[in-house]
Amino acid sequence: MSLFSIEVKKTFRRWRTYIGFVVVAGAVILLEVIIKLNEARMAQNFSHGMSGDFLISGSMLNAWVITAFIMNSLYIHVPFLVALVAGDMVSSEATSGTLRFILIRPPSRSKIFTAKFFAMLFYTALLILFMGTLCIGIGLAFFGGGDLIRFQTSMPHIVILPAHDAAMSTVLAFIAAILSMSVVGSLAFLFSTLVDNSIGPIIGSIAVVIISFVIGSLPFEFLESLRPYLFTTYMGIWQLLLNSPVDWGEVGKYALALLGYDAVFFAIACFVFVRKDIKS
Amino acid sequence: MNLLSILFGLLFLVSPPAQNEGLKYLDNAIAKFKGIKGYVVDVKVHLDLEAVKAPDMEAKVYFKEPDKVKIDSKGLFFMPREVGVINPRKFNPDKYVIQVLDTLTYEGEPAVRLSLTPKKDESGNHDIVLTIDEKDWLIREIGTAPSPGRTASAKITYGEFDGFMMPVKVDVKLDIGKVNTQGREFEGRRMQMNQMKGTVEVYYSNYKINTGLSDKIFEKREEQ
Repeated sequence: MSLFSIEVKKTFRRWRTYIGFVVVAGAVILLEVIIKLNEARMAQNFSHGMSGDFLISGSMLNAWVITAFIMNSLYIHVPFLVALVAGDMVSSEATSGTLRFILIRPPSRSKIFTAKFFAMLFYTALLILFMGTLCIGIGLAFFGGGDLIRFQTSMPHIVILPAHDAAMSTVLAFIAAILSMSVVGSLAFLFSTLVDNSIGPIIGSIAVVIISFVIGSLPFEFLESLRPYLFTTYMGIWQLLLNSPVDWGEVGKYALALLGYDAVFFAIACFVFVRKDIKS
Repeated sequence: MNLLSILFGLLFLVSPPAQNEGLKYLDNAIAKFKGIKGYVVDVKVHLDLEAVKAPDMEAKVYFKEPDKVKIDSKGLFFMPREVGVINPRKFNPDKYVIQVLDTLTYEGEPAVRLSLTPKKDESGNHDIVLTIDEKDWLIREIGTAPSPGRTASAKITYGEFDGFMMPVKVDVKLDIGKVNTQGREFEGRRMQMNQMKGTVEVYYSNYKINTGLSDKIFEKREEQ
């Protein structure tokens, strides 16, 4: 059995790994049921600004629109759910004392560490794909398919993607969201190698995410120069894929930045872990 | 009799014929549409608005006199409310003060421009300017200003279907200024859309006129 599959099994043997799936399922189902119960009013609100000037036909609320709406939670509770597991990957074993026994085995520290890191990425990917499948599945069952209407802050303000493009864009957006969340996971994973308890890395990484978001969104000129260096600036990569036309240059730039942060966090964490004096 | 009385007298004598003259033109345009009890038409809309990016949209539009409209579309479909469904009957002469603005030559034919001012200041009522050609009595252009800062004008091209002259293309120029952002709270963001201007081309084909549309078709109106 490969080191990776051992680490994945270990991850999924912990009960806290399933908290993320339960919370995501609960949030998605609750939101979709609430939207379904208020469908008529929400559809009216949705078209409110345009119905005075246009005759409108076709449903504005459909699986793709609802999914795009729920995806905003990628900024809210999903980072916490990722950090909850990623921040526990190394530190929990240090706390329980199993880390020392693992490191006695033949595989090198860096190999074991890399396997843990990829297990964390696997969990992150699985959580996002689970969220995507649930959003789209329940959305299609409740609201059906249709064109995706998006309201953007930049021009053009209103974008309508035909149903077939909407499906593809949504799937791509979820794949991009995995990359986005992997940075939160990598950061929590890095913190997890620094300490011997799980609470610190989880709270620490979420604190960094929140502070970074706040700095990135405050309308002060002197903070403008900091924005390119904040990883949260690039976490909205999934939103770029729901735009039309998709600015692939910008998507590439965001993806490279996120991969860069993943690589830097991994390298620092690996450096620390390989040199760490593990006493228990 | 002083000069002021003479002027008032002249004004009194002149005003009703101006209204009557305008009414005559409008009545002729409405009469042109009179034989149409209902129709079904395939509509294709091409939006070229600065603030909107949308693919061409297609729908089947059902119309039944006096003003029933139903739109059937597979996907989302937007059509300018004021000028998307041409129905001269909605310019009810009882509701407007009609004045002849000027006479002109429209594509080589004599035409007249009418100003329609609502008699009552009700919501949804606003000034309309119609260009009617005097040869075929067809409304060639419609200009509206639904509210301050909002304008829409349409140029209508006609074709003959079952003996009726029906629109085959409507070129709409829109400048509807700022769009109310209240509805966008759903997406958790507020934004100003202040460049909602551009053109909309509406194409009509496959008219089926006076086929006897049932009222049931219009029971669940998809129009919002």
